[in-house]
Amino acid sequence: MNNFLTTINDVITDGKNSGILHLNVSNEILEGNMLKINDKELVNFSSCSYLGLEFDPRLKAGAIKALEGYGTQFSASRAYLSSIHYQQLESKLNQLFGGYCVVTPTTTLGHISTLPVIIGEKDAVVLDHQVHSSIQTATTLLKPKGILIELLRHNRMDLLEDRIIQLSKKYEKVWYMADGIYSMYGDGAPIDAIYDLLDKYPKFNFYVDDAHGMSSFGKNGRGFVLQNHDLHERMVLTTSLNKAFASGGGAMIFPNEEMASLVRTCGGPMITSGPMQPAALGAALAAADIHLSDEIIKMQEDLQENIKFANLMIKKAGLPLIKELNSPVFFIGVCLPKVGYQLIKRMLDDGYYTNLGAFPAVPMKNTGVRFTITRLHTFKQIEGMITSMARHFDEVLLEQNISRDQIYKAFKIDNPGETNTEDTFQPIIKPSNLILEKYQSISEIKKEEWNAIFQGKGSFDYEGLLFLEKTFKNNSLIENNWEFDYLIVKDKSQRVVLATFFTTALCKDDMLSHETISHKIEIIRKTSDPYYLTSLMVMTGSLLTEGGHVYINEKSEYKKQAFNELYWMASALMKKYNAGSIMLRDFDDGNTELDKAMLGNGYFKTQMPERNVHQELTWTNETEFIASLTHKARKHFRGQVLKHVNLIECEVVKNPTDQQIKHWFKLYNQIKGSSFKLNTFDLPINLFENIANSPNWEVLSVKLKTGEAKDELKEVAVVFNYKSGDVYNAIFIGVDKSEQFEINVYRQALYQVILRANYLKCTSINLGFTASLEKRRMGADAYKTVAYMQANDHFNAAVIESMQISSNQSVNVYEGENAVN
Amino acid sequence: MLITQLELNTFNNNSRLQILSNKSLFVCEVKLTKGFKLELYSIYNYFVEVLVDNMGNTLDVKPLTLTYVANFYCRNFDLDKEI
Repeated sequence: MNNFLTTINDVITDGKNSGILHLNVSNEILEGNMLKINDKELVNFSSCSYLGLEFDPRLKAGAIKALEGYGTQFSASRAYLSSIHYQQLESKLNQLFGGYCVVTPTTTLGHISTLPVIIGEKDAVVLDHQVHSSIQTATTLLKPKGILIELLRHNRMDLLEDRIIQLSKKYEKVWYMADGIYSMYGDGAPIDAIYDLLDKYPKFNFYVDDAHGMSSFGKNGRGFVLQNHDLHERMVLTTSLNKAFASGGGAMIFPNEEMASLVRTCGGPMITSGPMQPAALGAALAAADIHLSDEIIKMQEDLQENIKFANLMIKKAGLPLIKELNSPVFFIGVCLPKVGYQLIKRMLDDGYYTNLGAFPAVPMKNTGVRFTITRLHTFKQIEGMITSMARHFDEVLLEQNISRDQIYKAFKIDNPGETNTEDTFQPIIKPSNLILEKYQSISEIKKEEWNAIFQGKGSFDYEGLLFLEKTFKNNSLIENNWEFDYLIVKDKSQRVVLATFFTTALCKDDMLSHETISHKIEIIRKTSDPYYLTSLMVMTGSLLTEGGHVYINEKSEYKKQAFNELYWMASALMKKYNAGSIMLRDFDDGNTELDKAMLGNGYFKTQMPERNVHQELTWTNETEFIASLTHKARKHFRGQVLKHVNLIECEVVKNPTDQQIKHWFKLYNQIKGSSFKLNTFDLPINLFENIANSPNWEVLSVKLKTGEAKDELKEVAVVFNYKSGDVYNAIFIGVDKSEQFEINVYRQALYQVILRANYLKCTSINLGFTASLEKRRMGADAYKTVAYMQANDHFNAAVIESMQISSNQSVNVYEGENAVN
Repeated sequence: MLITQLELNTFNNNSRLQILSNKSLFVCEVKLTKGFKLELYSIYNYFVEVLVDNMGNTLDVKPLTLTYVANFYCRNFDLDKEI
């Protein structure tokens, strides 16, 4: 599984284990909006049947009549035969929508039938970032044809207009795809603005899925999108008959008969998939009759009264409703999954069933309780549910150490109770048994104290961090200026419970993506926008260090509380620097307790490249070294390394010339430019200059004897190392790739590092990420390493993810001129 | 949760009846001609009047001003005794 699927699996499994997801209803017969789960009576606040028509006797009778007439199914492709009900239903829906309708077994199949038929190879597609996944899935069918597909930030009409103008120059049609009402937050597309664009730009076309707006809004229940407009001549309206319409199937409504006919004739599933079952068609016919009568007006009014009452109760309860609208979908923000799990569980105990709105439907730290209101709810039920939520809300926040202010900040909405905006990410309960020390420079911390924790862990001991602070400040390029922050958490006895340092730097969002994806993105960075898909990231450690950046005293009883402080500090830094994401990195894989805690706090796990550590340095000569290797590695070492070692000369360079430093920089760039395994910005030249002048760094210059007499020396590799205590750290390398040498230079350089560390009597060598095979062959151990990530939003991740779906697609992104976070 | 008089006004008759059934106290009723009647309810600090026809159908539900209650209902009833 890739990182994305693993994260989804983790979130869903966690919710399942918490008893709030993948539940089963135990009723044989349902009565209204009541259901039983594990034999507990619950009021259902998750139904999308907003008008409660599923219990209407006319729909039941319609289903029974069709069932008795045609049996349980009428199994024939619609390309051959359609039951009488189809024609009747499409005719009624034509009347209802004022367009030309094609009914499909599901809305998803409707999209799959429609999009490949109506989108031409000379068209461009712009997807709203939050458009329903069924549309996003259907657009993958367009990618093999090379059709341009772009993602647009949610509901940004200014950006959309810009894209229409630009794309119209090159493409025949520009399609914007959106939802009428979005299924998570219940917010709507800005329909008036979209109609203005339709009127203004002749190449602009609109494809919309109004599944959640159907029946509840508009004349004859034709939906949210058409409540104030008629179907536009350059618009395709799609909707579900499986929600408020209470029957089944999907409906695609086209502006002309020609387009409808083309989809009916050529839409893949229209030919190859089975039809809707007669019972669903019979129910749909009855539902259509109700929609076409005045009765629907009263039903809509009743629903709106319930929605109005729910909004009023939420306001009175002071719950953080993310968007107050007149749609039947509500979303109460709780920020983190662990808060959502607890709140929903307690409401279940009180007799109310609501949904968890979590990743991937929303960003991880935008978790919430999602519930729906239907016409069947009574005011008493609505008030009961909201009172239950309000009663548990503050209790759960208190237990999970989350403030309401944090929730409002996470959702970027105003806090109605906000009085003090300073330091808003502080926990609401200060753990009285912990002392927090926060610094912005290593020079503010006692050297002995820091080194007592971190010396010998990597290149981030006291001197190492002084070096990094000096190097990554006051540089011309934004990516070479890092912010440094330090956190030390102590107990009352002044014992360190947790310590770490953070850097905040501009990073490539594809840093941990597959190399092929980074390769594609790099082409765009090189040709048009060097900061394409980049954002500020807060991370433990830095881009130039590896290893255990987070020290935790495993024996401390305050370990968990101290970790909370880490989360708070990371969130506070994210806010302070306006960063787009947080990465808590270099943790050993397989710590399920940590995985669960991180997930609960809104961090998803992602695999990093393996970390390689050489720990067998007790040998005193070459023979002993070879003996320390595995049988297979010995053979490789003798044949591939030892055989050529007499061609190598290696020296530790002191006082290099400017010329030499420039050459090192060139060698580094040669290897950096050829690898995207861990895709980072190039290091600046002043780093090389500072290394040359630092007593803590060692530069190993690897020279190859060349020429016929092997009497000429050519510097073919250079390794930059940092010694911390008795640990040697090979931080990065430069290799001459300008020509093919008779030997593998990289392997020789690796061996020279091992020899040097052994000479210095080091106990281990951190050999860095990537190239695990080569390092293992030299006796290193590879450790599976993970990072825990949290992002403000998943827009850039969605773009990268969509690039991973297909290797020959063209997915672009448009965020406007000032897109860099 | 408290529903103010102003908030009650934003709902239709059916909704007002739902609110009454959950939150109000019946105070008294005034019989009118032809089997019609007025029912008086109290919600927190205000009163609501319900007009019911001879079939038991609710025709109107409206919050009242205190002056109206004092002038109309107190003239006909001893509220202390009724409550």
